[in-house]
Amino acid sequence: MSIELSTMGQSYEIDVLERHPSLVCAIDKRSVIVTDIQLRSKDRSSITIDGKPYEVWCAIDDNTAWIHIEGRVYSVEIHNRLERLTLNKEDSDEVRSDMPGTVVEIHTSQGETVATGDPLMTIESMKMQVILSAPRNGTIDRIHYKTSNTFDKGAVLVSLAAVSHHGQEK
Amino acid sequence: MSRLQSNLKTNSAEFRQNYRYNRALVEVFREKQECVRFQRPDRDVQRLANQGKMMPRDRIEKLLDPATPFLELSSLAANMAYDGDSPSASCITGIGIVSGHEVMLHADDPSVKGGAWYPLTVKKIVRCLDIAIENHLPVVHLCDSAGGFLPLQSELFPDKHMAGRIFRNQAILSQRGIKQLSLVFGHCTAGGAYIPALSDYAVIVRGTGAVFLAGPPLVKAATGEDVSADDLGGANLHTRISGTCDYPAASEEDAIAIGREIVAQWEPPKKWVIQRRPPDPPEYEADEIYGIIPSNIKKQFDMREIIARIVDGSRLHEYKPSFGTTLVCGFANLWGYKVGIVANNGVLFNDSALKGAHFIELCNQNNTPLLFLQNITGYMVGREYEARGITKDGAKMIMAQACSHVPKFTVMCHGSFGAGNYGMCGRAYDARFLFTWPNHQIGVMSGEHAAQTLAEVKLRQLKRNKQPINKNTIDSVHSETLEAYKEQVTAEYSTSELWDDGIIDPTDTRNALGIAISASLNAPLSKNNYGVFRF
Repeated sequence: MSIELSTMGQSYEIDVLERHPSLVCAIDKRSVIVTDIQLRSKDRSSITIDGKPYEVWCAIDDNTAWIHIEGRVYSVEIHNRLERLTLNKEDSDEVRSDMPGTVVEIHTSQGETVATGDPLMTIESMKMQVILSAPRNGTIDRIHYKTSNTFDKGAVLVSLAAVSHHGQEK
Repeated sequence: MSRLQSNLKTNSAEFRQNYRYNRALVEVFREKQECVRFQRPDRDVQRLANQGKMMPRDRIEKLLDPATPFLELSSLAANMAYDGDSPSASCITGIGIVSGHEVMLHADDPSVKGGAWYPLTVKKIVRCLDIAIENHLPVVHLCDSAGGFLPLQSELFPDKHMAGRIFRNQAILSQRGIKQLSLVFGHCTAGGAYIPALSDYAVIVRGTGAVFLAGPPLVKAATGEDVSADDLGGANLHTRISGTCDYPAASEEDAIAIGREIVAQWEPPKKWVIQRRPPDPPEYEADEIYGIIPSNIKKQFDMREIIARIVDGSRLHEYKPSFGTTLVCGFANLWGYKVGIVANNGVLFNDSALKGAHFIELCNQNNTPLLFLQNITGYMVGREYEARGITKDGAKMIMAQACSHVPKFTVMCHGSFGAGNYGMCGRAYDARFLFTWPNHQIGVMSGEHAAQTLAEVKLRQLKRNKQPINKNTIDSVHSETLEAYKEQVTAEYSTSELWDDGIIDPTDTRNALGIAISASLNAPLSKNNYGVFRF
């Protein structure tokens, strides 16, 4: 399983290729050999990376590691792959329903600016009410159904104005 | 495992409204609990005091190890039955620690009609002994009962799961090497006499304790023999002559002390080794659960928000996070114990049902107990879904779940309607423990839906018979159904009928489950084995 880290605004994918006799990792496909890993204390260790020795201090707080190396401190975020998968929702212009149902309430209007997660519409299906929320920041282009209208599975309920490549809304 | 990130807006109007609503429900629950536990007519309190007897809760408190938790089960049983004449179904059951041993307690309540057993009392005792059998928990009986409540004998005596089942369960417990101790504080009459007789150990209090098949009045009527209760079945008779009891006690306190010493002799339990890590508290506050559960039963909420407030460090290793997303499955630790969580996040579709079935199999393969968090309106209906086999996919989930060999635990979090209840380990599926939140509603369908369905049926019937269609008739079918449902779908009704092991305050869920999981480890795991899955 590969690990995704990010530091100083850049993210890196790290794969462990070998553990014995030395640790070999691929960082964004470039391989790195780590030898002589010695734990000096709970938070201090010395390691040799590609032949060059380093003294490293490290503190871990939740998903962030604070690493002190050669007089500088780096904060490194560790991303969990599962989390990334769940967050990796489609950045779509269209809000659809997975099942047939009825519109209960509309929380927005055409032309309104919305932020990710803002409620757009409450729908009811199988006796359960679900709030559909904005998949991204944007402007409401069209609301396709009125309150108490019924719709089919997969119907587009709300459209957001498309975004051009320059990040401007058309 | 990654920490769940809460998206809850605790300053939103919706959160505050939900919070107030659910807090109010919990307060009503707490008041009712307080009332059934401690409110008794002065007459009854005085009568017990005159006999030198303690109230049953005082006996329990003295029996348990100091400063250890007691998980009371079904505190509001029978609360909507018999016009409220049988608080807590006239008995107390629960799991506590005695001399360092986890035990199941069953205590009669002599402050209500002499501790007479109502039909729901019998159901509650049978359930507590079922739990003892399923989890290999030793039982301490605190006996003080007049026997069956005669006016309702037909509802408590003849059937399979009625009074006879108590003694059948006692025999099965002993057969499986699960120990039982009876402390006889008051009368054990008729059937009740078999409780100490079928226990491995029995202590009887001199003066007030008595065990007999028929009390003095019945003996007088049957044979004309005139005999006092003490001579007929008191401590001296049973510990010196008959051998029905083993230890005489000078007082109730003495009986409790002897009882504690007996339990201290028992071998320590052999629990199976579950994957465990040092426990740590959830990252988010449990009382925020009040703000998550909608006041409207129809409204959906993200069950991950609940999971984040129950499990260690709010960490969840989610299984198939992008597949069948209306069912959240994943591994987590709860009080350190590894559990597999199956939680509803919407209607069950084909893919969510298959994911559930697969995850349940993974947990069985890995010997990981299963925790079901229910909020379900059922499996998806409609031609498209039937064509894709929603019924057989739901059946796979039921098959995997029902045949699970790992302990299962269910929490009724919001709604439980239709077949979703089955797939998600409803009462019929032998969850070791099943707890209900005060806001919960349960039924074959929601009240409104049932009313609509029955009104529709009535309408068709009238049309078929070419009878005049009267709007009032249809409306009254609708409103009568709704009215009946309104009461019967509530958590209070559910717990009154013992369809669960008790209502719990949502903020106590983590602790209740911790005790439940710990108790479940006493029973050795059986072999993994399923029936035929329909593909």
